[in-house]
Amino acid sequence: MNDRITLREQLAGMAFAAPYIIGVAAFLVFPLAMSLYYSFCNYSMLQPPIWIGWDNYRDLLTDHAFHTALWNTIFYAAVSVPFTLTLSLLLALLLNEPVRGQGLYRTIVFLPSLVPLVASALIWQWLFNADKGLINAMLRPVLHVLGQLVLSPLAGALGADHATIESLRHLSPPVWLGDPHWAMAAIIFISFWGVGQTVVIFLAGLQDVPHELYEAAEMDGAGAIHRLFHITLPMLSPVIFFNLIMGVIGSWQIFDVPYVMTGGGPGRSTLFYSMYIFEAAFNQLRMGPACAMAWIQLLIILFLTVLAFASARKWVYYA
Amino acid sequence: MEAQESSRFTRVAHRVAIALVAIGAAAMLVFGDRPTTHLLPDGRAIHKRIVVSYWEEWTGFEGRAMEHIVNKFNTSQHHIFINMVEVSNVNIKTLISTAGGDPPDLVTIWSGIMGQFISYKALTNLNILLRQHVVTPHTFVPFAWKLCAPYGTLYGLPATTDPNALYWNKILFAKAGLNPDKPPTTLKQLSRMAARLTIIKPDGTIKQAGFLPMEPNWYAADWGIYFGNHIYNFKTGYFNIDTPQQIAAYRWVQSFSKALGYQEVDSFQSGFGEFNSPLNPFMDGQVAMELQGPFLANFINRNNPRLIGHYGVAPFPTSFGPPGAATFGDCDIWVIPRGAKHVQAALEVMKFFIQQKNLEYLNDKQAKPSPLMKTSAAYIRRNPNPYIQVFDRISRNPNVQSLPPSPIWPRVNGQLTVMANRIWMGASVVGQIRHAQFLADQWVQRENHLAALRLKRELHR
Amino acid sequence: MNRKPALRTHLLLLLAALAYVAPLLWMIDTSLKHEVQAVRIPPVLIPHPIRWQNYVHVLRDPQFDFSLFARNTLIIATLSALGAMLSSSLVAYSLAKIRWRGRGLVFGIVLGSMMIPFPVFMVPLYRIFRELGWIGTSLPLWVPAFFGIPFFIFLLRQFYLTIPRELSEAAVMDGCSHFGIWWRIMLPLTRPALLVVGLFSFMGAWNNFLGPLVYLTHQSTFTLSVALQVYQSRSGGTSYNLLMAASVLIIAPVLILFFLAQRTFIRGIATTGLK
Repeated sequence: MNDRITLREQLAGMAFAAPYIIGVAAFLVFPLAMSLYYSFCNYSMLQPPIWIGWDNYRDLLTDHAFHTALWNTIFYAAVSVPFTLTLSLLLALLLNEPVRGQGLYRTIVFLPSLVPLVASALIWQWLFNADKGLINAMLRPVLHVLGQLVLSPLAGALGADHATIESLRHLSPPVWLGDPHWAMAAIIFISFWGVGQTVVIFLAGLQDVPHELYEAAEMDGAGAIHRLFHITLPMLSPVIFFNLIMGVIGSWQIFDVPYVMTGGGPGRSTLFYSMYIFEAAFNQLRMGPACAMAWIQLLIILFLTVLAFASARKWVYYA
Repeated sequence: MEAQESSRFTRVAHRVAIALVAIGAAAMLVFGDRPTTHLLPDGRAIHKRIVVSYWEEWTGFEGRAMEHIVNKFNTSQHHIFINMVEVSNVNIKTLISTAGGDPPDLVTIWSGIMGQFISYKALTNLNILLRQHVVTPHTFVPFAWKLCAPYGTLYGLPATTDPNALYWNKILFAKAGLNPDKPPTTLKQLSRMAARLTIIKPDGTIKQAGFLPMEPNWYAADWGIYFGNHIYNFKTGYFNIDTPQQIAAYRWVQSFSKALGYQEVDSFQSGFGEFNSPLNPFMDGQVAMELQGPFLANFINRNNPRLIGHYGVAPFPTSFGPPGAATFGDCDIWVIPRGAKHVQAALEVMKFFIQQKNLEYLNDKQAKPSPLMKTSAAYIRRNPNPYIQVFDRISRNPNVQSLPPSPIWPRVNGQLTVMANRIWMGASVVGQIRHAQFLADQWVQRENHLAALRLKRELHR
Repeated sequence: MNRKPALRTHLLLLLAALAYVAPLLWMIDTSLKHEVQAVRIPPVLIPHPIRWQNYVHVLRDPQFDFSLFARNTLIIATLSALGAMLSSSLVAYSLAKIRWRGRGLVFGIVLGSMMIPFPVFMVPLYRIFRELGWIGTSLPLWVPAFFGIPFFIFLLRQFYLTIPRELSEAAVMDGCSHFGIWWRIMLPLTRPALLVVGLFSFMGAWNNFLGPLVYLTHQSTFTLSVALQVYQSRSGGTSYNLLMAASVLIIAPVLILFFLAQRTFIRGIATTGLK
């Protein structure tokens, strides 16, 4: 075939891509430009925008709520992403074992990731309920036994003071969503429940690892751990990389679960970045700061992605 | 062969299942409820009427009261149909939908957002009602009128008023050896009584508190009022936060948590039940005196009838005059957002709503005082609030202070609440007040600057 | 092979399965209890008597018009799925099978735009939809699907690339237009992939929360996700047995869909990570 692009081809190509090209103009480029413009404006959407320069960005420097939201999101991403990645990898390895009922196990682990996030937020809100929730109902006897029979005698043996021993005797479970630290922990915990899709991707990746590699390693007398670190992980690294990128992008946009479950509280302990943008824009009609924050979010995600791609050269193997 | 058979069976079963789901979905699409069917209370469909969409802020029994009036209107004539929807967070939802160009025709909003709405030009000017002599500046109690027409132009009509008063638990008074029929009349007396009404458990935790200014925490920003402060300067648009009266007020607020111990108060408050539950701290006897609105009486009737007859209500003491010399009052307001599609019809509805018998029905069902200056004796008689007369008298008082019609009030209010909470937990009173004043000044300055820019732009056109 | 590791694997699998399925079971369990029984301590494991009335109560709640919200959601999800399948396959075909100047750039935009977080668009799109008069309708939630979804374009392009060039070239020789090739060869050959796109976008629309929360201002247009949140946060609160019943009603269609198209689903997700 000749290499020249005929006019017909050019037109056909553009015609087929037309929906997207129009879409990009209408729903991507134009909104991006508008959003950037608004980020330098005072704009309530009820009155025309007024240019105020860098004020919105400057205000963010002293906005404590913004700092909290930023920090919470960084913390969430930094804890949740590595943990969910590790967990899904372990689950995938487990679900890859040829046992009876494998299909059923896989389905069960996958199901929660299909549940609408609003619904899962409600389910977990109920499970984490401090008084009546199932989790504390199970923790209470465990903590009781642990405190009475193990911790308080141990503290006594170690010569702790009376008050400490007494408090260990009456351990009570956390109030979860009512406590700033535990509320964050609860939200991170929920992210573990929705790893189904990541697990499936890992499982697919595991199918593609050539079996001969394992056989050869076994011949060489390599143990399971050795095989994991020297065959499975390197061969899986492109998949790990993909899941890492998706995890980072996703965790920076967490919204549904905290919005429904805690509304950002108690205090601002579970106020996340996207929630704060939403609040500024659609609760306070402060469209300018909302757009400024959204652009900062975009830049952060872009930076993290570039960072990931740059580091990928060091650890991702493409066969 | 067998395997093939079974796989064929699965395939058929699969197809049947998919077909069933598809049929179900199609049925849903065809026969499912449609948003456009409006029915009269007797079940008949409406015929050729203008549909006024109306957002009501109250759900539950308070919403039912409004629904009754709406039904009455819908059956009273044949031209207009009110489609009432109960919307949570109605202030914000209204702002957003107005910004989106598709607001409801009529809304009940909370007074604190009036200033923001007016400055955004998001409300329909209702001066025509003045010209038609439907209302005059003296139809409603002074503070309600001031909220609806803060600078002369009428932007809304009041539905119910919500002035504050002191509630006290007579059982706890008697137990503490106080005269159950004599509430405190000065702030000093209130502090002394609170101390006598406080019970500390042997382990140092609080069992019962006499008075906690931050329970409920809805009025955290308003304590200056009882010390003679006027938070808002209507002429300049600036806020009076750093004033001697405010400092005195918040020193007084802090004196309660300081006396009980900040930590102890904090853990005591975290154990309080929901407002709308029998475990409400006032109903439950954990707090002996509270500053509350008239609606609390309604919730006591519902959640803890045992308390009926065993609590009293009186004007709240002030530092500079008799009890009630200044009080905070709130108000529900009907407004027509800018861009509403049926303004004329919405005006007709409003006129119906503010008819004396309709307003009084609503006020009675919500156990609140009427915004009308002229009321009937029956309204006082029917009102389930045993202290409706106390509230009614407070509501008519020209010294009731309401929320400032400032465009930035929601933000300032937020900061004042943070300030009050920090002071409550032991932060420096003067430091916190200065900080709030500094921020509020900054916001006002910026708002003025923007207003000037806007004006310049409009003149330019 | 020794048997011990297998036993350990079984135990671990059982434990994991229990942890993942327990919340769903507890949801169903609570949804069948009486309000009082639901909050009893220690928890009652088996509801007695089983209260199917909870579901009737939810379906008949005047403030939670389930059949209206389900209809709204179904319309949005169906149209989104149709739109995404149609537009994304067209665009993907163009990017995979037609050689034209600028397609590299378009593909770059497809890849890049997947990274842009939704909040960046939230405000300006609201403005655009306002100018179009779409606020208060469900249009903002499904019309954009007809303009191609980057992720699905990418997915389908990878599928089209696996189809041998000779096939389409032969068709061109026979005088077949690109539209003909797309319609007669590509669509039938990539039906599984197309199904994945349809399924994913249907589920995405069904589960979407932030979009409806922002763009649907009138209760009569609410989707199930938003309605569920409103049901939970209405003043006075909603008791957990009813909330769980409502959750079951919202989750059930998704799970049924999954069980009907399980293989398509898993294959679809599996391929996303590998290309």
